[in-house]
Amino acid sequence: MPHGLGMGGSLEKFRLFIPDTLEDCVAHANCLTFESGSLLSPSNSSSPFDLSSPNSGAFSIDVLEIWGCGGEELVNEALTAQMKDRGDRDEMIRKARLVDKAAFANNMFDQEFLLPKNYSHKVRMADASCCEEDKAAAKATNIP
Amino acid sequence: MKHIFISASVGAEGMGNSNNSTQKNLEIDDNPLNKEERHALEAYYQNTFLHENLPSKEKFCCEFASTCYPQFGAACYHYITGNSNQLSFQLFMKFVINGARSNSTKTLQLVWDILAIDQKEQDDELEQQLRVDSFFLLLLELSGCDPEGIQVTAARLGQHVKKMTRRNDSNSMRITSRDLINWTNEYAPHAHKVFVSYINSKCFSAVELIGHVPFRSPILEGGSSVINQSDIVPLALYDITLQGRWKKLYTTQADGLSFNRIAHHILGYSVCLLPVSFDCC
Repeated sequence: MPHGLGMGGSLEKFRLFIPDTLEDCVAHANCLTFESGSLLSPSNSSSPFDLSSPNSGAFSIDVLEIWGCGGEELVNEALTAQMKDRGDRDEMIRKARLVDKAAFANNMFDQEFLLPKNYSHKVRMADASCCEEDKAAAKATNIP
Repeated sequence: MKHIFISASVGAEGMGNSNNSTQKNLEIDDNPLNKEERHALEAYYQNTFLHENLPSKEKFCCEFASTCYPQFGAACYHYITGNSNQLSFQLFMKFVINGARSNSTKTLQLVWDILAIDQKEQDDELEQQLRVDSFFLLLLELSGCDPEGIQVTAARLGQHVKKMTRRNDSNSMRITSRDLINWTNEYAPHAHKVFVSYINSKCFSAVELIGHVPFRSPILEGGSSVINQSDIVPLALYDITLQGRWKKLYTTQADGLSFNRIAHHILGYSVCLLPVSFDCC
């Protein structure tokens, strides 16, 4: 799937496509979504409103503006929805950044390799108990 | 060179009939004004047009003055009064009813006929083209459009009407009222509301109008370096959701030219968007 902002047409040929690089943007005069008509003024016309022939082509962006419309009520609703969406995303990012240290308490591997300083005493205790067990086992079998 | 495009579709082509109307139909069967509206209209008429208890043409022309079409007031007066050249409340009321309480076709036909008052020959092709241009100048001005760009936009709309009504059987550019009405039905179905709202705002400002949705001129909140209000008024004539406040979500000048910034400013916005680009290549 192409990376960018596309409108109308199909995935293979958008009516208007702005790639994520913002270079080599494309506008076509026809598609199955919208009525035919030029989105670009002809390059050889002195008038930006010359509708004499449909025109397709590539262009690059100098200034881009995006406007939200729909009436006062809808605009306010949409802005509220956008704020909520941003809040949700920020919360998700915040949660992803948090480390749940409690989860390490039950995981010997994480304790030893990810938080060695915090849990070094446990490692020493584990080593010490292993040595005691080895000694007890050796005594039982009379190994000097 | 500027490339200005707007991602909004328009409707299908209209069909034109050659039907020159010379009517000045001020006859009405039933008075659609309720009691409150009628009283408001009487008060408006008395306060605005009467001078020493006599109707004043000068006051009328002043009240219905237009910057883009200076003859509008006089043309209206002549249309209403006809050969008598004497205004009366009854005649004025009929004008208001035909302009603001009828269907869209009657309203637009009324405006066309008013513009015809000032023209010499209705059948003359050049006069008709001028009338089309005058129609759009008036329409844009009465919609509350800023003066900047009105002339260019009106010319553009006139060209579009001429393009859509070009007849295959001749090279004639004759445009009739029926052509214009058909064009507005397809491309500007809310155009008549501009005139209705204009008349309502003058005659019924003190009355709460029930069932009348006024035309709200689109407003670019925060301004724009790419488009002006006259560029978007034609869109508002097509779709009611494009009227009223337009909220600027993103601009390269304030937010930077980066797709990441574009995505950040438009993601989550749950209603329609309208990108407008200015390309200098």
